[in-house]
Amino acid sequence: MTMEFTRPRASSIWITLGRMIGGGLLGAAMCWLYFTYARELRWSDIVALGIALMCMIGAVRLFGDSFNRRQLGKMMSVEGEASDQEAQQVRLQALIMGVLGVSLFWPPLATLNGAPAPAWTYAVVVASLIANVWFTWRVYQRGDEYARQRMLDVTFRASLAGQALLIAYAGAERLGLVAPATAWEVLVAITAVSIVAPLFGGSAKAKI
Amino acid sequence: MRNRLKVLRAERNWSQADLADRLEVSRQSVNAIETGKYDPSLPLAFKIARVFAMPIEQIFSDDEAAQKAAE
Repeated sequence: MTMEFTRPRASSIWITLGRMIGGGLLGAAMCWLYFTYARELRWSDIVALGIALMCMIGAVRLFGDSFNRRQLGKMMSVEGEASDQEAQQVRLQALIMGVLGVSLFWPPLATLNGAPAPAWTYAVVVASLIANVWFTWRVYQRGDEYARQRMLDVTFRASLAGQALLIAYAGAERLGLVAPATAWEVLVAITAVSIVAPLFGGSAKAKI
Repeated sequence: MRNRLKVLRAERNWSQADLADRLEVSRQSVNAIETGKYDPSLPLAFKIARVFAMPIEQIFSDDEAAQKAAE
């Protein structure tokens, strides 16, 4: 994500809390439905559903916020209201989050009655992959040097954390200490890391 | 790195959007530079200098050099 948002004020904490409770209830309902009807359940499916839910809720919230120009201007730390172009950028980012959510919840959903899923379901995976790559590339291309630097910072942190995780797991797997990971599990783990990694510290400003 | 972007902008009665348009960057970038969250690249720093018609060193100053000068 390239947008930089400020921390919510004390007055909006109750709204945030309400959203979190709402999201939690929605997540609990989704998990209950899935666990009730799924024939086969893997740890990666649970994590994927959790991340997908975070992405979908975040996307809907971001999309909704993009119509409140004053609020969006405050969130983006700019003077006055957000412009049309800035609102469009935020909507594009919401779209990317939403597409990422779809690409994570679709495979567990499509195999709800057991694997293999019908062949046509793979079209959704391919479509979401193409959309994700295309929209992310557009955000990077349209961004100025500050936006690109922020994207590179986030990518670096996610890449470092993901690589460390993979090396640790692959080493343990080769030594026979843990079960072999599937491509799906690796994807879910890396996506989870890439979402969590940007939340920890760092800035676009280099130490000289 | 310190800069006088906000002061120079205020002297000219320019909004963040005005400056962002002149520099062909986003308002977020202007805000990040003004608040010291981001140090611009050399090409952008030179562009800022051209927009304000001032030498680059009158807009940007080095923290370390400022500390030494104060001592």
